Amino acid sequence: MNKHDIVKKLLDSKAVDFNAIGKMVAEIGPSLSLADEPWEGFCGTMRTFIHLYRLPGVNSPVENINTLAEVAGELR
Amino acid sequence: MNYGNPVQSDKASVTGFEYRVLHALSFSRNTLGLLAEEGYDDPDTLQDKILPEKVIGETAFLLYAASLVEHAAIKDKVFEIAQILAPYARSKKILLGICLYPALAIEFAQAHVFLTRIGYPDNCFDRMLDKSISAQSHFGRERPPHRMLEQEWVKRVWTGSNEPAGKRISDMITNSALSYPVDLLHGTREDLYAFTHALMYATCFNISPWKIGKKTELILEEAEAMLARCIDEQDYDLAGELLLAWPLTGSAWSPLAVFAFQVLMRVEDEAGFLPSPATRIDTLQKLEGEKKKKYLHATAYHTVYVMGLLCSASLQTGMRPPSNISANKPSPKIPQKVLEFLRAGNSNPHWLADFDQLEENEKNPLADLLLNIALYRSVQQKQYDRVFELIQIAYEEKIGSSALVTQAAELLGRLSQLTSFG
Repeated sequence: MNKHDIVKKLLDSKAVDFNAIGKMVAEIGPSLSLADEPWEGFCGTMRTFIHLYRLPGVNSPVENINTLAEVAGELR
Repeated sequence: MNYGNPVQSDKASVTGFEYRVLHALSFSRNTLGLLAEEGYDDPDTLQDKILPEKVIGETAFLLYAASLVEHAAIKDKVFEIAQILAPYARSKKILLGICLYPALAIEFAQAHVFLTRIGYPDNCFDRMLDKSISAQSHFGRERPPHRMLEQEWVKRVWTGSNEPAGKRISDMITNSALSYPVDLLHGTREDLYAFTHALMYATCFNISPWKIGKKTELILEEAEAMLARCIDEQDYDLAGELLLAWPLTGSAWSPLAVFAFQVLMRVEDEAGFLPSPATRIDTLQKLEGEKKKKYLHATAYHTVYVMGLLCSASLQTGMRPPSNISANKPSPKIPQKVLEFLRAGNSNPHWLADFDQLEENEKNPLADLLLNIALYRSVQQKQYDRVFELIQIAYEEKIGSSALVTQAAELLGRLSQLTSFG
């Protein structure tokens, strides 16, 4: 499965309700724009509300050196 | 393509370091062939997109560093790859980038600048770059201090200037990680990069360096603390960049640095290239042909280049590390408790195998390394009782990097104050 497939599957699953997000932004956007929070942008509509992270290789060290040598060696 | 063992003879042989530079250069030639046109963006892998400009710029930097080494075979190889690189570095797209975006002109022109300094000038690009960096909007992008230093360094390479740092550049150095203690316990990889890159740029890769704020001993002490972390985490990309601190400051290699260099060389010899965690075997095995080659190069080229830079800097400055680990003062015996802690658990980092192979008289000078690793690991695991024990050992035995030990002691001090809040 590639990253495009992941996004497509996620969209197809309807797990993210964009209508509901839009409605919520319309409700709270104006007050967020005036919120005094130092770390974010100044305009509520420019904020990121949902992050989907791909974290490849988290805490996974370098692969087995000999196997790497073998697989990379095939490219000779 | 041949990624067989880069070094056929012993790990620190007379020709070993030159051979490693040649190996990195050969890898760069293949990387250019695979990635210089379109970069890398394969949805079948989880590797992030890589822009061709990044590959082109980094290859030019490697060529520049290698060109500073007095060695006929290396010079021939640099010449060969410069010919391949030049059309990419000076494409119409790059020229347009310099023209349209003065704030990014140095980024676009980086490869052109290095090629110029190596001996391949181009007047058309020079004129466009000159005009672009004279534009009002050239300074229109805000950058962190080490990135500002990079801009100034590339300009210095371009003009061949050896002027001392003026106020503007001194201010950049003052605001960079070269003037403040690095957060050795909770610093991110980006923080470590800020340190290694600022050092590379401020020292101008040993060509007319600027004056650095912090004392060299403090720079090296912090580099040692960070190096211990990176070697333990098998982060060889950052480890290689940190090792540059020794040749770039013209300092004698410490036992810890010599050992770390040896680990990198052994891993490079066994894998055929210095690997990073980004290269995943299951992905490599799924791919075939051109896709497989591209994936390998996209994930591995940066670490391979770092090894090339490190060996080039060591040769350029006559700062080859010694083949044996020895201290210039009597070393305390490594405390058993530290060893036991490091051997406990499932972790089996590469360095431990190298350590076990050393003679007893080579092990003891590495007490600093072992204490640093144990301390860093304990803080990450929030084992503060062990942190306390290790600080006691550090003070009693006078081992460990004092910057790291001091930061750990400060952490315990703050935690103890926290308890008073109930």
